[in-house]
Amino acid sequence: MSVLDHFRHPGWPRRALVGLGLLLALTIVFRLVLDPVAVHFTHKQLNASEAVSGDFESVHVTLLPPGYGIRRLKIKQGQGGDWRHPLFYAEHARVTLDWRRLLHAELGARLRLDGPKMVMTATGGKQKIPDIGAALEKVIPARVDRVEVREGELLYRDVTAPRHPEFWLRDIELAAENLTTRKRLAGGRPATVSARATLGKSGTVTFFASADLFAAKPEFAGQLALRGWRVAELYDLEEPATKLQTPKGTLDLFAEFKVRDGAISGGVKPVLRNVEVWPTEDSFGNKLKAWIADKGLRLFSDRVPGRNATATVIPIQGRLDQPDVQIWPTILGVVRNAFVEGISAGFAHLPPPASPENESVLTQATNAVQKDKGPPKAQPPKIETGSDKK
Amino acid sequence: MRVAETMSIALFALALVSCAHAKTTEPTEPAMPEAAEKPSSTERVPRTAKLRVAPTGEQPKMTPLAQSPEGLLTPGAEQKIHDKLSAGGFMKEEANASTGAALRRFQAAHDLPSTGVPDHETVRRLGLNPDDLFRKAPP
Repeated sequence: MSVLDHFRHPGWPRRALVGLGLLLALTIVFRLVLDPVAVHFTHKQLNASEAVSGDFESVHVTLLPPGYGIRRLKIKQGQGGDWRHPLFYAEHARVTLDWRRLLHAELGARLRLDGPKMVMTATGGKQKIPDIGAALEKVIPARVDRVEVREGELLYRDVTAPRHPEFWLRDIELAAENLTTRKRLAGGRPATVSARATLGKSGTVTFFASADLFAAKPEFAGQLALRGWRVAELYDLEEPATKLQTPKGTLDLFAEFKVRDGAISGGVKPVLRNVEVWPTEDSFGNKLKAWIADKGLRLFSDRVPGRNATATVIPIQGRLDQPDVQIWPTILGVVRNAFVEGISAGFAHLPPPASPENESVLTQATNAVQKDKGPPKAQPPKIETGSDKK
Repeated sequence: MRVAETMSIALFALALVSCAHAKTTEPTEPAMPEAAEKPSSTERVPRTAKLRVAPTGEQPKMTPLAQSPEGLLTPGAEQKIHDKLSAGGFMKEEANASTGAALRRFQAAHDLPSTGVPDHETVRRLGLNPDDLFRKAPP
């Protein structure tokens, strides 16, 4: 019997209507039951461990597209935590399944976080920091391969330091892709993370990294840039330790890194522009210290009008668990910037060129003051062996 | 059982049902040209499922890692992105207008994280094929 013969049968409209009605009724019942069930299990999972407690305003499950969303999610410390100051808060967290991939029989989900706020507190090991990631993982109904963050905030607070300095990252926009756990689904593409944020009130941070999640040892590469951060924002950090302040000037910072087979190579380039150092106390000793620091910065700046940048390139070589931050190329980089060739802001000279064999400090110094020799080279890493430790 | 597992199974089942339903409603059967080519109703024909089966033993090679977003793009990809942004009115007329700033405007307009980096989703929303723009693993 052909398909057309089915349609010629007199009873087919009635059967089709009954079928449709049944499907509709089932969908409505399913839909009505789904949200309360999801609320129950979400609440149960959020409060499953003693370390954290969770709460939310509502949970909503959608069928088209298949998805699950939590509104006003809060996670606080289990005992003694305050709901007014949660460790994690998200205005809206939503997981959706990717239709395109479902059509190819692949399960791919994406997590979207709107307005997440996270507080990290350095307690100096006195107090265990709860694992918020684990708590979130329990309520996310699928493994996600794309994460999107919009308008996020991260507050890092060091309560072990005298003035409890804070670093506040705001307006965080982040996209992480290809976080799949199966190599076949990755399609030969690395996982990537790209982000943009504002540090404090003034600095613009950009970050990019690509990683091979299937390598036996950690393999990733990337870059980070901080532009135009006013050094006055360092007051809480520098004042207790130095009794100095830097009310004027900005810091730019550029870093590039590559980790392969557990070995790290890369460099960091800090560029201080128009920075002035003032004392915070009226004593003679403090004033002298501030004068020396200020004159030192001026002496080692490139004296370009309007910029007055003190800069260097800090090479980093070695193993990921034992990086070798090289002092001599760093110091010689400052000297070179001041007297030979100004170091530009940006990723130029990053990562610094590597010397094939160890150069003596004298050779490095001689090369640093010659214009045609380029910036100081990264020296082969000193890797501490077991016998060195003894 | 954890809520995550329960929900994922439920959602996956729903999605599969929806997919199957979508396939059965496609008007493929009336378009079959010859009835003689069809098997008879008594014959059992093995189903030629379209589900892809993971090849055993052979794993795709990995594209080399890159330190910058541009390092993952193919030659000419940046120009294609630039052209699409210009056509959409996201590039400013200034001589030193940056593609990153235009990408951020495009991403914000499409409710994507405005990172200024051309990721796969952004490229797809621009109407370009990510497979053409991103580097592939060497054979």
